[in-house]
This record gives sequence, C-alpha cells and structure tokens, in this order.
Amino acid sequence: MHIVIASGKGGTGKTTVAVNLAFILSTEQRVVLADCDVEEPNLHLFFQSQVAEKDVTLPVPDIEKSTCILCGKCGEFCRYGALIVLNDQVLQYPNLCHSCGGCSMVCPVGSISERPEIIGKIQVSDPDPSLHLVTGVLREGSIHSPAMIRAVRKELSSDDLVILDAPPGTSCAAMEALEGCDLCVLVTEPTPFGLHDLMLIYQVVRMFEIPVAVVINRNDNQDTGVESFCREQSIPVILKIPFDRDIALKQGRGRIISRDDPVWREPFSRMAMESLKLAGA
Amino acid sequence: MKLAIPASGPTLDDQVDNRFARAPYIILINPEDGETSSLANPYAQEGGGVGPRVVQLLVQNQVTHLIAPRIGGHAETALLATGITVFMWEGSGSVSSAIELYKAGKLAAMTQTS
Repeated sequence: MHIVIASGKGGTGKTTVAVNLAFILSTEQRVVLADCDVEEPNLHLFFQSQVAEKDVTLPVPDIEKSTCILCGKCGEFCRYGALIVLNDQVLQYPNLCHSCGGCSMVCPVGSISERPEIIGKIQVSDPDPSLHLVTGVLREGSIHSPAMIRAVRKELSSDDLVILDAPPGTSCAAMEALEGCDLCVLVTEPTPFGLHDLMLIYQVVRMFEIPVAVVINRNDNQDTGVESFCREQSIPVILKIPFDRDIALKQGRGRIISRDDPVWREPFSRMAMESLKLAGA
Repeated sequence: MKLAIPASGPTLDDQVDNRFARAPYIILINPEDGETSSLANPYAQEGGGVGPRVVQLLVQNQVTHLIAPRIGGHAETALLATGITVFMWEGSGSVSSAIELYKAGKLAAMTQTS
C-alpha cells in the first residue's frame, strides 16, 4: 500500500505530515518512508542513522571522434539540444539529454554508443527496526527529477506499507510521485495561496483517480475557503494542525511532534488510521 | 562574411528581437555586398535546449558574425566553440539600425571572459 503526501503549494508541511504519519504507523508495523522530494530531500533530518548509498545514472551518448563523419544527423534529430554538430566537432550537453537513444540510432556510421551519466544518488537507512528510509538526492544542476523519482520508486515494493513525500507543485516530478498510489494526502494551509494551489493539485490527483484526503496545517481558524472547498468536493479533512509556535520550534529542531509531545500522539494516530482506511486497508 | 541578427520579423525594418534563440526570425546579411535573406526560426516555440540548436542552424548557414541580445549559457558555450564573433546588442532598434552601428564599429564584441 502506497500513501503519497503531496501539496500544490510549497512549504505547507508535507514533511511534517510524512514524518509523523510514518512514525505513528511504525509503532505498529514495518513502514518504508520514501523521500521523493529529490531536489530538496529532508526526511533524513528527522531520522538520522547510518546511510548506504548508490549512484543513479541515465544513458547519454558517447561519440567516437575518430569515426564520426560530422554528417549532422544526430544534431538534427535531437529535440533537446543535447548535442549539436559544428564544423569541426560534435558539442554535447549531457545535462539536456533525455536518454531517448535516438542519436545512436540515426548515426549512419555507428559512432555513437552510450555511457552512464550520474544524475544523483539513492540513500537507504534503517533508523528503526520497523522504519526503512529511502531518499532520492538529485545532483545539483540536473534537470532529471522525474527519472530520479522513478529510481526511488524502483526501490519500493508494492507489498510494503510505503509513505511517499512528493515534491511540491503540479510538475512532472510531482506526478511521478503520485502515479499508482492508493491514497494522496494533500497538505495545505488556510490562505488564499493554499486554496489556489490545493485546487490545482486536486485536479491532477483526480486525473489519476486516486482517493484524496486533506490536512490543513498552520490552522488559525480564519479559513479563507479551504474547508468549504473540501466540503463542496466531499474531500475528508483528516487533520488540522494549529498555527503554533511550540510545534514550529520542535519541528525546526528536527523533532517528531507525535513522538515527543504526548498531546500530538492521539491526533496523528487518528489521522493514520483514517489514512489506512481511505487507502483501502 | 555573413552577419546574423535575431529579429521580430523577416525584414530589415523589423526590430532586433531581445531574445536570441526564441526570436521568430533570423536575418542574414552580407555587409560587403548588402545581400540579405531571412530565416524563420524553427525553434522559436519549442520547449527547451533551443540555444544550442539555433547555433547549429547558424553554422549550417555559414554565419561568421552575430549581433545578439542576452545569450543563455548553453548558447554561449556553443557560440564560443564555433568561433562566430558575437556583438552585444543592448537597447532597441531596427535590424537596419543595428547594421549601421555594426558598420560604424560601435558594437562591442563579446569575448570569452565577458
């Protein structure tokens, strides 16, 4: 069972929700927590332990200069500008390459093979016997968030109970983390921006036909429309986290509020039970 | 020699475009005999990686000199590899006014360190 924590707007509290949901569930059963926010992964800050890591690569063209006839076919073929043919050389931009393999297919003299280009790494750790953490770390400057997220998801088994922390927004990368999940928990805040971006991501999640629940973070009881939107769309609001200095302080120090603050254990437990039910457990 | 200028339209009266690789047209001029032609930029509407591809197009059209506004990083690397001399264009004006400034030697050439 895969439960993804997503948000249209950045900074709403996906990580807070993912961390606490994973912690609470791990007190009862084995949980895999997957950080798919590969441009800025941060779950490891809450679950520090010994990490094993491996590189993630994508194939990019490797051009044999001695046999290349500078015919220009590869440069004309590439839609991404990842290689261009000049008068005396083929100039490559591996970072723009989408690894389609087309250049090596159109080369008439077989001068193009493929070599692996590192786009990032996967770190795995076991901060607790019942909690396994998988983190995707995109290499700085790489554009390949979706491929990186696919690599993280390859590490996950459909038999496991998995909590995925998605990247914010409604980009290709966010969709890569959503697709195929059994429940999407959307984290938002009761502001006009929170509502606007919640509506955007809700449209995306509906296209994937994934059940949805909402968590309202930094709730100050001065809602500007999030709750009425959820009522209209019949989306269950499974938790409200108050706009509270103490929570922010604990969170900012890398503490897990449902573990360290007895007041928060119960609401997160209820939220966890509700999530499992909505996901079809 | 052949001089290329990104432009908003296909004639010398059109404005120099303030984008390099996404300009709708590229005007090609031989300042010595005054012969001009225009090229509709096939990559103007494309998603990404257009800078290098427009440079490739310039090479295919035997361009030796370019007057251009701000140039992106990828296009800049490509231009340096081609040996095309790049003159910086700041401000606004028509393609013909840019040619006049070029002929009068009033445009600064971009070097590797700039």
